[in-house]
Amino acid sequence: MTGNPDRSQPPLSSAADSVPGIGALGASLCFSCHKCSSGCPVVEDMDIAPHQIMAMVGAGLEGEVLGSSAIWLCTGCQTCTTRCPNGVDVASVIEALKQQAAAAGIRAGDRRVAAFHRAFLASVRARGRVHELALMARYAAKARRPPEGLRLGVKMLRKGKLSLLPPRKTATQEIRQLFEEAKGEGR
Amino acid sequence: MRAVSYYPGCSLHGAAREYGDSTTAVCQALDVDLQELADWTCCGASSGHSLSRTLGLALAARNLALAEGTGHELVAPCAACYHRLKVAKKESASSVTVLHLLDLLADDETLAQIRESIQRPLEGLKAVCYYGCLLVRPPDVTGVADYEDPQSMDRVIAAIGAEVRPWSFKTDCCGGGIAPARPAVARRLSSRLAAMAQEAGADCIVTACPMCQTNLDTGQQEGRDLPVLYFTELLAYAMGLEGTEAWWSRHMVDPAPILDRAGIS
Repeated sequence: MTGNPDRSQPPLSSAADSVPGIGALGASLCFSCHKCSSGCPVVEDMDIAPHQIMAMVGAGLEGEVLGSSAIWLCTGCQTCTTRCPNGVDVASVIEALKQQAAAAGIRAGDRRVAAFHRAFLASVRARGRVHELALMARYAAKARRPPEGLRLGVKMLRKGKLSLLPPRKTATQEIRQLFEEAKGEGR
Repeated sequence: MRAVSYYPGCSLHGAAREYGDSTTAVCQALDVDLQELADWTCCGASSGHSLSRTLGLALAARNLALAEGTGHELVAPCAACYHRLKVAKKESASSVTVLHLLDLLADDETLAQIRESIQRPLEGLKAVCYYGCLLVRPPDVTGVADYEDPQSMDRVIAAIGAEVRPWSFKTDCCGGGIAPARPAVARRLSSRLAAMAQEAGADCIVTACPMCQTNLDTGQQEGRDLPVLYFTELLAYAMGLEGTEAWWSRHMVDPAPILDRAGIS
């Protein structure tokens, strides 16, 4: 099994080029073998399966999936990308859809996951490094997290896994500059 | 002594401090000079690239640029950091060689060194090695050839005398990446892994990723109680290094009972 076909050649069709850069990831080469969905660890929790997402993106209908919960549930495990017989970079297509949805300000199909990512980046922006306790507090405030998640936080605090003290601020000026350069993306 | 640049990442200074501390201890004992990158910053995994392609690459690439200045290889023990650094390297054509800690410790020469330094062989301990996703996939980013059945951690754990049990779930996703936001989904995946590890006859799961360790250690069904250890913790224990008691106290499932039974009993 090669599992890892040559992706240096551009895909034949470029219907998906309406999302900048996404066409190069090869969704239009998908022939719907369902291998991505068969190996997906979270497909049963998704509203649209990965092979359906590829079919829609390949047909230039990515606008239809930007509001799905599936793109946010994707764990980024890369199994689909690794196993696709046609060399479609499925995980990167889904990642590009998340970025596109975030840039367009589309209400995330799973608001908890999107809220976590935003809380995480706020933490990075503040100190250059993540302070996990502050991240969890930020996330809880943004997402009104279910008690289950809070219980885990308390358990981790008791075990001393969450440091009370934040890491020292590191290169925050430079980090702020990187966020500025990416402005317009990921809000 | 081999000198390398060291990128601990946020977790190894935080929730996975025992991974950071055991990494430092093991490397020191094996004459590897870990030189922590001055002013390293978060690699962005996995939120940066989820929300912004530009930011996702820039956050990781900043650390590659720091490492370039050192002239050394860059070692990252966290699978998620390692993966982002590899992606940034691929996209930016950086000259830095990015290694995971297992790349550094699983070559024949280092394995021989590990075998020679064992004080407490872990004979009788049955372990499954859990690599997760980002150490191995996708292979055109990681460069890993045996991505469906990786062996590097198996070799390290066998070198310290433990019995490495075969199982089919080495690289199945544990859901760690979405655990904070979707705990129920993550628990479905992690509890299945723990059940399969037990079915494979293992006393413990060995990992090389802070997200996997935290998720597997906290996400088990009540009563399963399968310890989840970093491979460096087991190495340090077998090599008789200091500090293990403090690490065990940070685990949800205490590994001390299975280790007491192994080797020395």
